[in-house]
Amino acid sequence: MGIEDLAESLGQNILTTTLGKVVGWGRGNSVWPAQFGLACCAIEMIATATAGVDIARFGSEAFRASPRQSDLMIVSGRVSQKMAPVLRVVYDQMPEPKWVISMGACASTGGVFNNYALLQGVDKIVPVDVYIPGCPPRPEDLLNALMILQERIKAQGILPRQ
Amino acid sequence: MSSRGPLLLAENLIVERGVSAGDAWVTVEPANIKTALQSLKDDGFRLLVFLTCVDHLVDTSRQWPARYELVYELRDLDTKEQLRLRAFVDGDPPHIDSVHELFPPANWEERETYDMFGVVFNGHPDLTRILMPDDWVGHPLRRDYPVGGEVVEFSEEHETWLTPPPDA
Repeated sequence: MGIEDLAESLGQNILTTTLGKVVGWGRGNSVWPAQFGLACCAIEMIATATAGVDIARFGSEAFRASPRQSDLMIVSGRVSQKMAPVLRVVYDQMPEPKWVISMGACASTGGVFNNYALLQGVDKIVPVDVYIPGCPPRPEDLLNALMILQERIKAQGILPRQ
Repeated sequence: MSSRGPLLLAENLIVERGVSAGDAWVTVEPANIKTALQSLKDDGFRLLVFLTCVDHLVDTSRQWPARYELVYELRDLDTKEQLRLRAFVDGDPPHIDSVHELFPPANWEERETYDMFGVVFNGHPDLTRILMPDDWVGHPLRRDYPVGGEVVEFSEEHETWLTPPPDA
């Protein structure tokens, strides 16, 4: 086998890329959400895990019960004043890199409930990457948000988050 | 449907009785609430459906005996009848006897009424807040408590939203 054949076979079997792209591709395609369904939006989040609207084909195969094993927190539902410190504790327990999707109107801005009992937007206590409007948003909206988040994760590569 | 409940209670306990929208109700003095509930429970009204409070601070449609009206809904599981007991209390904070020994579910319902209205239940084993955080100040469902929340920009109502209603 000559040098040309070796080079050709190597060329067909070796990919070159940057470390950032590989890391971003790996992280983005295996985003494991933490189970954080709070209210009605949680039902739609469960619906995205069902067979008709499958979130597993986007890499979110396992909704981990423990925040220590997950990288995405989908805040789906109303966050009450009593739940807010709990949410912050769960967020702090997630290891870096971590992202937050605020699903639905109540998690994004307080929704239709502008009163004493609810936090007017979860971004008051955790940094949010993607907001999804809707009451509740359709499961496909959550998939769209996940895809947007995946684009961002892949673009970020190995850079540390600000 | 007329309930036999008002007929069972001793006449000296009943202050007023009536039927509104098909529900039979009886008004009792707050001091007699445990006696009244005990006698009704002995006669078959074994289920406390709910325990709640109404704040009549700004309601001038009629002359209310007191500001806070405590409402106890009882149900007879055998005859499927429901009866409502009302007790009017005043005070700062208003007091009434706890009925958690008669009806164990009243434990949490009294905590909720305390949390939302500030009604203190004498004899309650653990009268603490149940819906709001433990260090919350104020009782949110009173009529002089503002709705709360945030001022919404460009809304026309934000001035009236965060201020209590004017005294009637």
